[in-house]
Amino acid sequence: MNCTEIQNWLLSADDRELARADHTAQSTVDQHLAGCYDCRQVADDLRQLEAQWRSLPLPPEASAAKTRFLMRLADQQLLPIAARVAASDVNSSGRVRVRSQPLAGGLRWALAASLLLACGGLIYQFGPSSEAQAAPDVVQRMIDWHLELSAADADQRQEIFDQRAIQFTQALDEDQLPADDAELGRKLLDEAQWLVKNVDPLAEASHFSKLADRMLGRLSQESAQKHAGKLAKVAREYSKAEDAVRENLHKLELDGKVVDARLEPIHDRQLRRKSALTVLVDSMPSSSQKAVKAALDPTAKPIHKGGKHRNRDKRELPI
Amino acid sequence: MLANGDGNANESDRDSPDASSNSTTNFAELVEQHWSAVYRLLYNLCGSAHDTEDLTQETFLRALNRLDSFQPGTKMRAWLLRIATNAWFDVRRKRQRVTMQALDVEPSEAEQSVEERLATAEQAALLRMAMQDLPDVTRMVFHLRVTEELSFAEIGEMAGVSEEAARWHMHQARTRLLRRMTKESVKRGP
Repeated sequence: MNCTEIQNWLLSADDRELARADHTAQSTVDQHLAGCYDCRQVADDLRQLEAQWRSLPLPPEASAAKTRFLMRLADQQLLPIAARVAASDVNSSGRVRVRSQPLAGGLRWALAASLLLACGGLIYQFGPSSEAQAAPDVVQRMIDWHLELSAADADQRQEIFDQRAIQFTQALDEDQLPADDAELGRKLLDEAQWLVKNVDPLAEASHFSKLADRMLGRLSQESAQKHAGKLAKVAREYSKAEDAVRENLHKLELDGKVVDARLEPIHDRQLRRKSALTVLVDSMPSSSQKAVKAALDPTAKPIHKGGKHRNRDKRELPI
Repeated sequence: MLANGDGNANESDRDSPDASSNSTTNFAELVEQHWSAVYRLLYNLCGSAHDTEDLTQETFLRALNRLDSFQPGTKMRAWLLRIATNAWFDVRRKRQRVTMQALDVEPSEAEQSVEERLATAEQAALLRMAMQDLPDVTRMVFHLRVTEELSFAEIGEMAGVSEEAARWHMHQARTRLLRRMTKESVKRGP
């Protein structure tokens, strides 16, 4: 075989076919390559070319695209129509209602895992340890404090801050809080100061969106403990944060200050949390589901007057 | 063989019981395992992240609706890739040609110096550009052979050509890519 024939053979074959080829052909090619720099170079270039192609990274959009697909799947928008119609039933008023088809266990858990992963870094970053979940009272009170600050007019915020700040600082120093709670508490203290100085519904919506992420992370960790009471408590905190996001977005609309590009990440987070929450709640035992759904039920919450937050438990912040 | 669900050849997925189940029980797992490979193939065919996302979703939707038709004893990855190429051919037929957009240069995640990263990214961009200049079927054959390590018979079936034609396309792809990359390398100097 001459160089042209060898190079043509190399371009037509590859390593696996080389291995399968009869020993005579392989031996002929090997012998030629050993003594021919040009053909050896072609063989090396080919190997490099293909190795390089295999090593090209996936486009960065691929992961987000998968997350979006899984979220749509979780919303059951993508399940076969026939399956959804088969799951329809007739409600008490006689109207046909297409019920969400219960997801099979494996799929439900896999989706829950995927979606919580998709909700991502924040949940992981702020998710508490099991120790931290045991004594969240100070944190809960501080969240109420944040809601109160955000609902207040600019000139009232400093006073609200001053009323509580020292007590919270002491509580954080004195209480035997788990490390995660203490860290979150200190963060909330700093952010409360920020809320006093920055009356900006968009930034506040973003702040509460991050808080909702944290609470959802806490809820997902609590769900493993299967303690309905604790779950309901965390779900209430989560719900408060979500309400605060919505109310701040509503303020923006009222002020006519809607900035689409800056709203997009907040809406995106809301949607992700909604999907993740649906899957998470569906995956809970029925007793926990009941408690969590009751905590999340908006009809069970006190009505807000004039868009202001009120203490949901109808009691003063217990400091 | 790689079995990491990251787009490279995966022989271990042959007829996994979960994946071949008629239920959707492990469909999310199937998405997790094969999303990258399907996305990578379609991205190389479309060149646009937007079109790729649509087609990848379409692929998995078709798979979800046709899980019954998956034949035990065959490779789940190859089955999905076949659905993906069919979906792409369908779109191409409708649009004549899926819009090709310039591909982004993506930095390698490996730990490299700035110079190395630039060189790698540049090389990757050149290779992608060279690939984009190949005819659609030639590009598809090269990708499926190199990345998924499918047989020419399987590739031919996916690409809608004979096994021999698939080999010819591979020969064409290698010849043209090699020539192009060598030329670029000479142009850029040592």
